[in-house]
Amino acid sequence: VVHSGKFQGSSGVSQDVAFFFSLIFVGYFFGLNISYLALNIAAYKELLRYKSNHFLETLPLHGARHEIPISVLVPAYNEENTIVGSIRSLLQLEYPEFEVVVINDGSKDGMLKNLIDAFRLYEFEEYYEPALECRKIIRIFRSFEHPNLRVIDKENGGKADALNAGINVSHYPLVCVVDADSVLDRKALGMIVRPFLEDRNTIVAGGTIRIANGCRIEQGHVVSTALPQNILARFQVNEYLRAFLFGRLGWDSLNAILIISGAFGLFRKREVIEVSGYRENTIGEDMELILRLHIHCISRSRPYSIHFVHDPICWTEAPESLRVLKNQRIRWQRGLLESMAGNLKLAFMKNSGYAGKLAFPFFLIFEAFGPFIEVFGFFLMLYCGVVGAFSFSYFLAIMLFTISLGVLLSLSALYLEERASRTYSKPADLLKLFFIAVLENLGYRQLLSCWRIMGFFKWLFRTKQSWGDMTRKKILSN
Amino acid sequence: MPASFDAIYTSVLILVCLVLGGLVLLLFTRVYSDQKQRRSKVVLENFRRIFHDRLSGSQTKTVMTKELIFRDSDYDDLAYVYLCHDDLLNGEARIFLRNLALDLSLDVYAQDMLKNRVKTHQLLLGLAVAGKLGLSSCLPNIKALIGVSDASISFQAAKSLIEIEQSLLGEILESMIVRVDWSISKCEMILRKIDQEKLKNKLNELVLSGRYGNSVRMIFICGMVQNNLSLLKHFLSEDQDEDTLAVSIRAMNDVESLPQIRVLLRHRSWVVRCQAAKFLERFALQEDIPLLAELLADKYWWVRYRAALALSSLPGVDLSSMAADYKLDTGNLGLLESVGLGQWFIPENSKGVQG
Repeated sequence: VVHSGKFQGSSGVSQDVAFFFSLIFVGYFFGLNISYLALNIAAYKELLRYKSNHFLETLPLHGARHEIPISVLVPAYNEENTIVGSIRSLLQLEYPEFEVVVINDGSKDGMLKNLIDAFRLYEFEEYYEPALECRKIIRIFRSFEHPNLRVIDKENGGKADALNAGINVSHYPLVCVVDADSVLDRKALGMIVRPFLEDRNTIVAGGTIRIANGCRIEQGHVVSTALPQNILARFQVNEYLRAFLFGRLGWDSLNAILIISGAFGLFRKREVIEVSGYRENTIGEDMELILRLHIHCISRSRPYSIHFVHDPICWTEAPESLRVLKNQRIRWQRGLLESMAGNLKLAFMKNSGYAGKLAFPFFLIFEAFGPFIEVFGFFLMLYCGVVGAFSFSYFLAIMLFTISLGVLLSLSALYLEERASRTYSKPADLLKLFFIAVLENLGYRQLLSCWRIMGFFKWLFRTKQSWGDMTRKKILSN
Repeated sequence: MPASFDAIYTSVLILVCLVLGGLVLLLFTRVYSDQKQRRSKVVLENFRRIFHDRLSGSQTKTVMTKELIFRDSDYDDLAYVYLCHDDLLNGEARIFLRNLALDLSLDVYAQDMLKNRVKTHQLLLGLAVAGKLGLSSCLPNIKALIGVSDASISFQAAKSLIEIEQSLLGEILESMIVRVDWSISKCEMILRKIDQEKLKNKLNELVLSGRYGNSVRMIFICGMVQNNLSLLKHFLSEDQDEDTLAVSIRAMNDVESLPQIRVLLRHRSWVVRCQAAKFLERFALQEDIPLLAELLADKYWWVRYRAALALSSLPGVDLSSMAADYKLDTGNLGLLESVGLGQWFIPENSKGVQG
């Protein structure tokens, strides 16, 4: 644009500035898309490898009784409408030995009463090792009906604090963190534990998160899948597919995963305790913990691996209103920035591998600062169109170019999904997702970028935000 | 029109073509996998029909009709269906199944897969079928696969090898101890297929050689053998470290070891006491009641919990009088813990259900 004389009449300085910015945008654009392409290829290879190697494990009677016992931790705050359904669903998981530990983080609604009534809880004096700092545990309950269920009633301290309390009280060497409003597939624990059985250096494994809106849930389990009716939730279906399939799976092959979703992750307790557990003063406690685990193991030259497993699925409810979605995205962006700012060390450590040298800069450029470049670029293009720096057809061509690339990436995620698990069985759903992939470029993505910028400023000015302020339609209700 | 506009315009055209191509590919993949699923279903139904005929005595001429029913491309599915059935059947039905698999030339399929080193999942299928059918002609190919770095292939090769013949048992046991990428639960699946006396002798040689010291994996593998006291007694002496002791007690499954385990109920380490109490859940006798009752007042929850469980497994034990005898001063924890299992009753002093 600049060198084609469109800025005729502009001073040399403004031409230089425009040239500088155009270089940044072009660099950003190609860097992002080349990275995504590379992640796609890596994810595809990893998917094929995983599926081939575990092919015979789908045979009946496969697996045995020696899987590592797991403590499922369910931190909950004011979840009176969903908690009983969620816990019933968790108690039905198919796994040889596990316990469910619900942590009531000082809820103000009737959640604890609902739990006491539904599971016939009684107070139980119990000894535990306070390995991690947390707010005071007031009472521990056990259930007359389910020997492997315990409920911890503690003072309010936030999600991280609740998880630390759960880790203190948990009995088993692996702890699985599950959100109270999520539903796990029955065999999810057996699948997510595989990396721990196959690789003794595994310290964390994460599973896939899918959107439950539109799915039929009976007795706490997803019995049939369908796309949500709500357009916002549909946009998020595509987003989640991209994030989990080529995002996590791609980084997995490089042992460079920086995020394991707080909604469903399995951790080796020993390492979590060594890094002092979850940090309270952050919103993105899930990512923050993973970054510290990377730093901890690298600084001790300890071999370790963090895996993503695509087949264990955790279903969660996506927000269907703009207000809730906005809050969620602002919170996520704040969490990302807090986590990265607090663990910048990872990028500068010796032997930090792909996690420090590739994934961290990637997240910093494309996730933390990406929204600024995207929004600024969009408005600059609009401005250039308005002042006549280039024609409308030029503007249209560039827009089409970026949209097509975005759609292509969504298509590749859909292809990976098709090869991985075929969640949406109707062919019409595939077409709908394709159209959603086109449509999301016309406003939705820009809106997300704006919210992420708001998240940036909220992080910068340290605006107070608490957890659990998300209202839902309660599709996973009791 | 500037050259850069042409370049963008061309790029857009290419990208739109790519997007449309991607969409076609996606839909094609869906159609193809739907067809494949339908065909797999047909293979399963046909296989079941023939097998049912065989079992009910009406000898369908499988050999004559198989070309009509199954295509070459069906053999992956056929092998998979055969393995599914084999895992679920035993006795005479399994022999019928084996004969049917041979009639359907699954042995030839397995040999082909092993010789041609095809895709990983086909190789795994070939290995599994060769093992189930006991194809000794495949032995050289299988042996060559045991040492490969891919854990899923090497493990399946070891499993199939054991199913065909057991001359390499020693090497496979050593691999089990060394190869941490073979999960211990999978190893048990192999060990269950081996003659227990033979297995015990081989393991004894390994333990005595001292090559693997107090390897936890070796202790666990010893624990998978029936009546394993002779193998594990070496690790049960009191001078062993607490981890070795705890793992050995956990692995122990021989009632003859009871006298040694009783001594460990008073070990200084709570981990050892806990494992010893857990052992007594399975093997305790009436004379163990006083020892276990003492543990009801242990400082550690896990020890109390396991002791209460062990006591609850013995007939005629009255925990409430025991609580009085032993002056349990921690809110009758032993009682509460056994109640926590839902087996007993609600104690009077329990705070019960509160809102």
